[in-house]
Amino acid sequence: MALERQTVRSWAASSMESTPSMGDSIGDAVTTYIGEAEATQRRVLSAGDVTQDERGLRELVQNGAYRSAINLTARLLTIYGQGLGRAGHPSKHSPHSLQLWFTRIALLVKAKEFQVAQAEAEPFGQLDKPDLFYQFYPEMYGGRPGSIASFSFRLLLAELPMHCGKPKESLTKLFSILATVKQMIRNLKDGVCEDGNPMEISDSDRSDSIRLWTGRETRIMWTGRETRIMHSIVNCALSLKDYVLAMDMLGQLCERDGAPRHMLLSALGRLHLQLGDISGAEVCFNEASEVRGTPPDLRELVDRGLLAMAQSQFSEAYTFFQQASHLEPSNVMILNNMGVCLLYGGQLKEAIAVLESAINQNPVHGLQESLLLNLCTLYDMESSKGRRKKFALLRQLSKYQADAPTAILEKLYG
Amino acid sequence: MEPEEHLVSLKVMRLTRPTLTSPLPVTSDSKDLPGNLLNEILQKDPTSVPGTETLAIGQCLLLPQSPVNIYLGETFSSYICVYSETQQTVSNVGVKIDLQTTSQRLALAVNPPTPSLGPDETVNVVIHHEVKEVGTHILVCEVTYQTPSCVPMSFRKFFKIQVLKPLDVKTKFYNAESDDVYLEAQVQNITSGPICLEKVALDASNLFNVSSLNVTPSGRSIFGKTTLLQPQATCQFLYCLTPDRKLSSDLKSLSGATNIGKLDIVWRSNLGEKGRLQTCQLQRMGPDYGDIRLSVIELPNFVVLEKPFTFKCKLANNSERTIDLVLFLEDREGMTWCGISGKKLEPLTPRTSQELEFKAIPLLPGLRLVSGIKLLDTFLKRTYPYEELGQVFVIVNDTDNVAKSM
Repeated sequence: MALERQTVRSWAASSMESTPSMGDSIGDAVTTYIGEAEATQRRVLSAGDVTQDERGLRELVQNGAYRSAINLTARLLTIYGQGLGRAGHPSKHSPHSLQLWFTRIALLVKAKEFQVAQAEAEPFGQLDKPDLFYQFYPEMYGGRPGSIASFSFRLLLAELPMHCGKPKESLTKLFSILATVKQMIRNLKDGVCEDGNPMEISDSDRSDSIRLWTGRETRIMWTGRETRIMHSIVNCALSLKDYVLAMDMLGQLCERDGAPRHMLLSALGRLHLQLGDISGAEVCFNEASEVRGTPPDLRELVDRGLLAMAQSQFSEAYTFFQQASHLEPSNVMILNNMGVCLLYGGQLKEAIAVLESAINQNPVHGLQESLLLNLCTLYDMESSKGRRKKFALLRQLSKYQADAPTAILEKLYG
Repeated sequence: MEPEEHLVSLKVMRLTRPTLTSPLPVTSDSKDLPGNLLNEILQKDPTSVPGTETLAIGQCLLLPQSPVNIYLGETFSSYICVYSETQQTVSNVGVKIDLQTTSQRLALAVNPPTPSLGPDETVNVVIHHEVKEVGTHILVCEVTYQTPSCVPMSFRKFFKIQVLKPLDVKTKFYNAESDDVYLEAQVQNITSGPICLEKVALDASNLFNVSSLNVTPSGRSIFGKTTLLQPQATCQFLYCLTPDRKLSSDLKSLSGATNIGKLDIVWRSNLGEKGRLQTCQLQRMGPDYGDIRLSVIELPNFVVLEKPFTFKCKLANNSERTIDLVLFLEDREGMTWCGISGKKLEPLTPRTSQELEFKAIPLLPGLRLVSGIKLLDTFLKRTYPYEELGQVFVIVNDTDNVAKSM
């Protein structure tokens, strides 16, 4: 155990050593490609602009300043003796320090810095090292059993390999978590604790009804988590292009009590479209609208539009999206899809106009990854002025967004 | 391409299928440090699907971001855009698109010239072409125009496209005793991604009636709802071809009927990208029936040990003369004949047939061959031995129940 503790110390302190603090990537791009003057106009929250605590961290995340938030986690972890330049110093985990690590790695994923996330997550393994359990610190937690790491952290670490091109690794981890959660739910159904131990009931809630209530609440929570893991397995199957597994999981999700069946059937329909089974997709969409039973809503119109798209009926698809757009004129996704239909129909200029209007109507939502990628592709096609127009997009991005993944920025100035 | 400066430019983009994107789901519990912030960000993302935000099955169309292979039988689509590079107006802008394959040159589009093209205007052409050859294809785009000073100009741009083979189809034929022909077709996906087989059908030649053995009696596909083929995976289809009645009465032409038909295959992949292939005419080896032919027409599957059973055969004279035959019955292990060996049969006139009934007694249980029939052509002094005419399963217990269940 002593040896284990020693090794743990050294990794916890050194794991951030290799990650320098994150700069303002949009600002840097503006400086390099548009000019210093333009860059000074940019107003973005940095780690120093907020209170140096969780509240400040949340403020950064809320503003979409992921890189600044990542920098703040580094500062906060340093306070715990786990930050930069603390190699070799003793450090201990607490629920709070692990929450900081979770937030940091989640934000790295959000900022699409997958390799950094992977490197920093590696020492945590499967969160099964002894110093990640309360029992490791009897002097602090008085023999309380259980893992210090939260469920979300566990799930995040299991999903991580999938983002780094190793979906099979994720699949194994996700199924292992799923098995554990299923066992916990079974235990709760049997009236014992998640881990199979008898429930300890304090004097105040000895009455049976309260005991049942807490058991059911916990069970509902774990059932929700089970659903979330199954969603991750579907996502992982998709990145493996294992459509059979994805369909099977979605089928299981549909059968669950209280499942949003029409939403899942709609997702199953789009999955069929993705793999090319058009008639299968149609069956799912029809079933979804039967389950819902109301006149066509936005969901159905969009699905019909996608179906028409898959059948190469671009003008029909456009009409469906247009109808959907009447229901929700500010919906950026629908405008984007209309633009794509126009391009396939040979109307490049009109496609560009729709996408530009989507951005101008609502720059905060409109300056979105997929839309930017689409617009860049169209600009490249339209004229030799594509580069200038992309710089204009970069300017807007600088004005309205705190952060953007590097890949998007490269597309804008590349 | 050419060193000289042009007043117009041309861009070409392959229109492969868009993909469905969605945001990366990163979530947390309300008890975690970020609280519901990450979940709210995900919900507010315009490309997430409300209600199923954590499923990465999106609804937002993303134009192709990386090159995609093109396969034989798919449709090659491209967007061709000609735009002005000058502040002046050029006139008579013509675009001609050809596709040069290894064997021929196809005209894909000839646009009537656009009378005038202003500074911010474009000429757009979308071409669709079903590729029917593998190997290198060259897309040749030729642009002609007149400068403001009425000088005719032109330039060409070339784009190389490599057309790959999508499927590997292997076929096997079985000529059954009953004159039916069974076709086994193995369709292998040799593309780089999964494909969905939308249709695999045998367009039989008019000599045969085809029945697909790939559906259950209720009409469902035996492969499930979706015939999905992962890369390198193979799917096997089975068809039964019954010769046309006219054909089966004439053994010579039945033996000569070697054209079976063509397999018609339609598949789809990414967001409905469609491909279609038809095999060349499939050929079977015609069976050689010889002068006389003895074939089983009725034979029980199960027989009871030491109880006589009967079966029927059809004896056909395939020659141009009347044949006199003597029938010999020889016992083989596990089976004994019940009848007279060395019996002279009725003379068989040319191109006729007659039915023969045989009776035998099984002596050993298990799967047994019906063997040991010999026919002697008394004129040619030629013997035709028939071994392994069929199989019966010999059971031991002699109860009514078993007999009924047969």
